[in-house]
Amino acid sequence: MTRKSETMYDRLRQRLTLKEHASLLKDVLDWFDDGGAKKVKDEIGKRMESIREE
Amino acid sequence: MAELLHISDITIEGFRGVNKPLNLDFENRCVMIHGRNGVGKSTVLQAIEWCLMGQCRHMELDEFGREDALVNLFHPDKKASVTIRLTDGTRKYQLRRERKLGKSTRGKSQLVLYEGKQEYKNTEAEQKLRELLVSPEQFYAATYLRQDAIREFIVGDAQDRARVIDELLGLETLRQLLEAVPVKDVETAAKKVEKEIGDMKEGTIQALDLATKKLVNYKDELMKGGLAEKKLNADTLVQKTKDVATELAEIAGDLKVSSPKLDDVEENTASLADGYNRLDVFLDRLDRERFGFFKAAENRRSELQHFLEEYTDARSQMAEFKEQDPEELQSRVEKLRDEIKPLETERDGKNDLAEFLNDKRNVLKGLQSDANKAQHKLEALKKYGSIEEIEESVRGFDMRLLETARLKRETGAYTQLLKSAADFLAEAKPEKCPVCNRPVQHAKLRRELLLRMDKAQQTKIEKIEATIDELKDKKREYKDAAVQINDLTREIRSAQTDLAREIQEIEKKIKSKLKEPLDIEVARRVTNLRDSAKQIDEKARGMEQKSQELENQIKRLGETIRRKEKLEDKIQRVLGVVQTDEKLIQAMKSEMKSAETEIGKLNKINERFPKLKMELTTYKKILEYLEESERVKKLEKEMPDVQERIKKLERNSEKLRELFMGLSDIHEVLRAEKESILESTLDRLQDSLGSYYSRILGHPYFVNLQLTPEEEKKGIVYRIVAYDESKNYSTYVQTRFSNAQTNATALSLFLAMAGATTSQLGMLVLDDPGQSLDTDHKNALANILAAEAKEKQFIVATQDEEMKSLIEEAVPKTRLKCITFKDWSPQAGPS
Repeated sequence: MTRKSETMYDRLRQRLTLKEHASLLKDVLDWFDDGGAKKVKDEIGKRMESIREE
Repeated sequence: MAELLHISDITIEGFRGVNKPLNLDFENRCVMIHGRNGVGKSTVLQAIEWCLMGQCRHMELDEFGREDALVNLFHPDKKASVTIRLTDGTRKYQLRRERKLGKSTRGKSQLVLYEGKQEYKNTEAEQKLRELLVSPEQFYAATYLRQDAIREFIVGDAQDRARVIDELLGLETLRQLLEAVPVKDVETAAKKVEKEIGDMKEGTIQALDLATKKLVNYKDELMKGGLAEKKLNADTLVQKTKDVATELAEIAGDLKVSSPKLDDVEENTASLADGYNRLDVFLDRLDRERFGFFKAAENRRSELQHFLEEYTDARSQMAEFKEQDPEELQSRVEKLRDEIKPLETERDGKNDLAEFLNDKRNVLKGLQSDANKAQHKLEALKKYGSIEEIEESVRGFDMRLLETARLKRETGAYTQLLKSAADFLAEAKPEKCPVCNRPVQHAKLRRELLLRMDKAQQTKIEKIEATIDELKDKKREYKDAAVQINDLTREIRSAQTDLAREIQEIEKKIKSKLKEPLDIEVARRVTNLRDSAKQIDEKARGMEQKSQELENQIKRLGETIRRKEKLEDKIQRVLGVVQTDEKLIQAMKSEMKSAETEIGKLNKINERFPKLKMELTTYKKILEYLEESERVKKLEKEMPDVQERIKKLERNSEKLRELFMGLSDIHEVLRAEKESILESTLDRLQDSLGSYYSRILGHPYFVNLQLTPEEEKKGIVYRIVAYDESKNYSTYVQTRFSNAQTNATALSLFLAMAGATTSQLGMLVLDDPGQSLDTDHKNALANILAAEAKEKQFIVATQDEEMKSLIEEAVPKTRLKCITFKDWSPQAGPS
C-alpha cells in the first residue's frame, strides 16, 4: 500500500460501521493501488465466483 | 513565474495556416497576440493545445473527420510540427509533436519529450507529459479557455461537469473507488442465490409435502369408493385392463368394429398410463360408433314410418276417385265448352239489342217531347191569330203610331220651346240676354220659364208618349209572335221527320212494326230482351261451373296419381324392391321391424357403457394414486441431496450477504469521505469564485455565485447557482443570464478552477476573452489578468483594440510581450 493509500485507509477505517470490514477496505485500496478501478471490480468478481464455486 | 512551468518559446511549422517555421520567443513573460481576424492568432493557441494534448478539441464536427485540417497543404514535406520549450527557471523540458498529412484531422501524432537530456518517445512521452504537467480535463477546465469550451462547460452535461470538477478538486480517486465498488452486483448475486434457495425449497420440500397430502386424499377417496387398500396396486390395474379390454372387444364384435390389442400392459405406471389412454380412446370410439349406428337405425325407422303414412294416404285419395278416367273427364269438359259458346253469343246479341232499343227509346222520347213542347207553345200563340192576321194588326199599329206622333208634335211645340229655353239657360248661362242685352239672372229666369209650362199640357204629352210606347210594344209583341210561330212550326216538322227516321231504323233492326204508344212498346221489348239474355247467361254459367269442377277433378286426380307414383319410386329405391300397393306396404312394415330390432340391440349395448366408464374412472384414480406414490418415493429419495445443496447455498448466501454488507459499508464510507472533502474544498473554491465574480462585474442583481453539489442517482453533480445580495432569491446561471453575464460567470469559474488546481503548469491560455464584454467588464478582466501575471503566464489572443490597450495599461511592460500579426499569406502564414 502506498503512503497516500495508507493515509486514506486510516481516514476511512474510522468511518466504518463494523470494524471487521476494515480488512476488506484494505483489500479494496490495495487493489486500487495495484490496478485501479478495474482491478477492484475484477478482484471482487473473483471473490464472488469463489463463493459460488464452494 | 518562478516556481511553475511556463512556455519560454514555441516553434510552429506546417500547422494549420502556418507554412514556414514561425518561432515566437515569449521571453518568460505573459504574451498578448494581437491582430485582425484571420491572421493566425488562434492558430498559435491551437498549436499550444495540440502540442500539449495531442488534439484540438473544438475540431469535433463530422467535416474534420473527412479531411486533415491540421497539416498545412503548402508545406513541402506535408508535415505539421510544433515545438514548445517549458521551464520553471530550474527544470527545462522540450516537447516536439509532429505528424504527416493524413485523411482526417484526428490522425495520430508522434511526441518526443526531453527532460533535460533524457528523451521520452510516444506512449512513454505522453505518460510523462501527464505526470509532469496536466491531465486533459484540467487543461480544458483550468488552463485553456476557449469561449465556446467554457460555455459548453457551463451548459453541458451535468455528469461530465461533475467528473472534471472532481478531478480539479482532488476527488478523482474517491470517485473512481465509488464507481469501482460493485455493491449492486454483489447484492444482485446474493439475491439470486436466495431465490435459488427459495425455488429449491419450493421445488422439493414443499412439493413432497403437497404430494404426500395428495396421496392421502387419493387413498381416502378410493377406499370410500369401496376399494380395499391391498387392491391399490399395479396388479389390480393389469387385471382391470384385461377385463375392460375383453368387454370392449365383445362390444366391438357386436358393432362389427375392429378391435386393437389392449391387454399387453405391464406392471409399471408408464405402461399402465398408456394402457389407460388406449382403453379410454377405444371406449370413446366405440361409444361414437354405437351412437352413429343408433342414429342411423332411428333415422331409417322414422323415414319408413313417414313413407308408410304418406303412401297409405295417397292410396286412400286414389280410392276416392273410383277409378275415373282422366281422358273421359277431359272429353266431357270439351263438350260442355262447345255448348257454352253459342249460348254466350246469343246472350250477347240480346243484350246488345236491348241496349240499342234502350238508347233509341230515349231518343224517341226526346223527339216526342220536343214536338209536344213546340205544339204547346204554338197553341199559346193562337191568340194573336194567323200569320196574315198578325201582319194586318202590325200595319194597324203603324198607322196609329203615325197619328199619335203628329198629335204629340203639335201639343208639345210650345212646351218644348220653354223647356229648351230653360235648358239653354241651365247649360249656356249667358251673362246678357241675347234679345234685350240686359243682365240675366239665370236661376230666377229658369224658374219663371218652367212655371210657365202648362201643367195639364204636360200631362197630355206624357199620356201621348205613353200611348206611343204602348203601341210600339204591341207592334213588337206581334212581330215576335209571328217569328215564334214560324220557328215553332219548323221545329215541329223537324221533330216529326227525325221521329219517323228513328222508327224506321228500329223497325229495321227488330224486323217488325212498332205499335203505339212507341215508348211503352220499346220498353216492353227491352225488358223482354234483357230477361231472355239473363236466362241464357244463367244457363251458360251453370255449364261453365260444371266444366270448372270437372277440370279441378282432373287436376286433383293427376296430382294424386303422380304423388303415389313418386312415393312408390322413392320407397322402391330405398327398400330395393319393385312391388307396389299392398305388397310394398308389407315390405315397408317388414323393414321397420328390422330397424326396431337394431335399435333395441344398440340400446342394450349402450347400457354397458356407464359401467365401463365407471371402471375407467376408478382405473384412472388408482393410476393417479400409484403415480403420486412413485413421486413421493422419488422426492423422499432426493431429499437428503436437496437439503445438502440448500445448506451449501445458504452458506454461499451468507458469505455474499457479508460481502455485500462490507462493500455497502465501504461505499458509504467513501461517499462520506468525498462529501467531507468536497465540503471543505468547496468552501475554498466558493471564496475564490465569489472574488472573481465580483471583480469581473457579473450580474447586477444576482451578485453572488455558488457551486452547489447535489446528490443524484449516479453520484454527486454540481449546479452553478447565482444569488441576490440578501440571498433571498437564486437562479441557475443557465436559465436567466445574458451572453455577456454568462461569459463573466464562465471567466470567474475558470479562474477559480485554475486557482484550485494542483497542476505544475502555471499557464492560462485565453482565446478572445473580451468577446461580448463592455468596457467596464474588459477593464475588470485586464486587472484580473494583471494580478494573475504575478504568479502565472497568460497567453491571450485578441483582435479587440480596446482589450489590447486595457491589458497593456494593466500589466507592467516587463511582464508582458505583445506580438502583433499584421498579415497572413498561404505560402508564409502570419507575419
